[in-house]
Amino acid sequence: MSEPLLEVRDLRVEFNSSQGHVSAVRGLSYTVNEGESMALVGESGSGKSVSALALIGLLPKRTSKITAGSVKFRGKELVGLSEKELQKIRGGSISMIFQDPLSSLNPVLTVGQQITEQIRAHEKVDKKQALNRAVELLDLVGIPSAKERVLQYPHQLSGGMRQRAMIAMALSSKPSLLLADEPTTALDVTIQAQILELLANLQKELKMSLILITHDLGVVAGFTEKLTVMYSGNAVEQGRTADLLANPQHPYTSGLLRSIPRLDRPRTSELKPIPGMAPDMSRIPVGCAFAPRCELATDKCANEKPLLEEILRGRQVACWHPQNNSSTHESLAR
Amino acid sequence: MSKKENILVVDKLSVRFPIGAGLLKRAKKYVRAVNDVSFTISRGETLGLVGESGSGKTTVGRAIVRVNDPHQGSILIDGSEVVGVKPGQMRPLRRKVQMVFQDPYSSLDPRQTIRHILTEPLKTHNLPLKTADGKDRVEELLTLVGLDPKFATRYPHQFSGGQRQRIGIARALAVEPELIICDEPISALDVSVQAQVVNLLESLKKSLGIAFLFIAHDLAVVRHISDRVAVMYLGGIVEIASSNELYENPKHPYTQALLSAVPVPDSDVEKNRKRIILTGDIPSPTNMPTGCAFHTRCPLRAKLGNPEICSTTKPEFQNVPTQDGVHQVSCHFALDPK
Repeated sequence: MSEPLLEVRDLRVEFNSSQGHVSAVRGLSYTVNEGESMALVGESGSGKSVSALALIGLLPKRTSKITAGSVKFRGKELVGLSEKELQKIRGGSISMIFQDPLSSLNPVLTVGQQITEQIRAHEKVDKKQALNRAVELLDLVGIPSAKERVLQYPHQLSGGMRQRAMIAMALSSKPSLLLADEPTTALDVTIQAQILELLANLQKELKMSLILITHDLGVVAGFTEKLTVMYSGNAVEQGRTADLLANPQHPYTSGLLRSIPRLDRPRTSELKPIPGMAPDMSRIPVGCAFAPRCELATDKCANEKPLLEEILRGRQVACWHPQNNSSTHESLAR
Repeated sequence: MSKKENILVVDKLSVRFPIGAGLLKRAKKYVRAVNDVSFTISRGETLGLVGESGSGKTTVGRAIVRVNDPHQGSILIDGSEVVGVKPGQMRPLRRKVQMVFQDPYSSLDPRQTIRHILTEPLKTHNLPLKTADGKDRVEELLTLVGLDPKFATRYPHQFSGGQRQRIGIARALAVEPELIICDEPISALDVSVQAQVVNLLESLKKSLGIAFLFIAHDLAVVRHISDRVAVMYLGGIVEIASSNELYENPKHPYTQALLSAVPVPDSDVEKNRKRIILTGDIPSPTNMPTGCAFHTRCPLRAKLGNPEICSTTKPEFQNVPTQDGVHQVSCHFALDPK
């Protein structure tokens, strides 16, 4: 079997705060193969963004550190690499795009200056060649009249255009892995559809792998192959996206799917919310972190932490009482 | 006198903001945030107002409580005109309409206890702090929104986002309003908590008979909570119908595109559905397109070979009777796409 492009094993990240150590990521493992797309889904505070920043050494150095685990990219260990070595990978073979394109772009440099800066950081080309490449890239991401746009500043572009410009910048080094952290959350739904379509096409065309970080289960359904659901710093369920959404096994995943109204289903009289709220990350329960909100929780759940185990083909669940039957799906579809 | 059937009647409302106006400088241009918007809300009804950012949906809500002053048009709350009323005379009207805001973090004063926050509207409107049977109003309000009455002595920072939004709702309920304007009340909350607040609003509607103007961009939540839904684009309403009718049978090309763009958590549906991808961005409200505001991006117009009328004449509302009341759509061709 060929080696996965990215292999994350038992990743742990801690933050130092005035209230002591906070474990933001508590033993996350997943793999992404060449050309594959995976979604990391979770609510705020679940550790999805922090775990992605950790991969490429973008965690704030003074307040946080990777305390354990390994991140292998093409077989090479990334944890513990020097800043200089990380710089080569970051924006090189691994690129990242962020939620808010306005604050991630430099307001005093033109779009072209920012893209050429990145191109020239990784390749020996002169300014003119780099600028031509920048125009090609803007063309690739569907920005009309790229030749003029390349000379404009971020504030002269609309939100959707800025996100396209960010994607162009991320693609400038022909990355083999693109990390997209909530790339469409700040955008309107019709613009979101444009950007998602663009990302899906580019991923296929350029044969990139993609990790899509989002809180929106609808966004992942269309174009990711694999899905990792996170809760309080842990992966609670992993599997093929289509199967997982159709037949969730972890009570958190199924609860989440039940709590959102859906346009593809008839109108229901009442939503079924998950009671309570996510735990304070500095005081995570000993056992299963979801136990205090879980209908199925028993004493065991409160005391022993469940680990990810394969309970169906290709499906891993961290739960003492996985729902393990398809009737839950039927009741969902009602 | 019998009560008016409609708690809110908005007629030909326009709101504009000056650009570049100063102390001695007259405004040269205006942002036309809301243009010629008309709708009604009957007692106990929930009207959903959806649209993308910049569509003017928030401005409509704020104009009703006169946070933004309308430029033209009329707003009747329970039969009384709001536009042009002196600020001092607004108070009795404000008791009828309250507002719940998007951000539960910035809309509560961090230095006031919950009791202080909830007592303020009661004092402002000279309402009793005790109920008829001697119970404490603040505790009653907290119970009503599903919070422990003991929380009254706490400060906002001691609560989660969802709980804060409940406090914001309790504050709106304090003066026993007949209409509550909710401006994106759940979009700042975590997904698993959103449903809790939606259910609370629905139960309040049932038990207290309050009408809601529910402003949101989340189309699935709006369908769930609303009796009728109005869709806004670039300052104008393009379509209004009952929630069932609008989502089952959208007529305006913009509504159709909007609905087709909402992703759903089902891979089979996602992979097989036909998405109408709109090209380009929403035009600037400082430089409104002539004719129909949507004509620059309209897929239907393109399909029909770009008829001239779309860019020259603003479409009037056309009324289509349905089982669920009147379905209104403002498009030259939606009903008869020749």
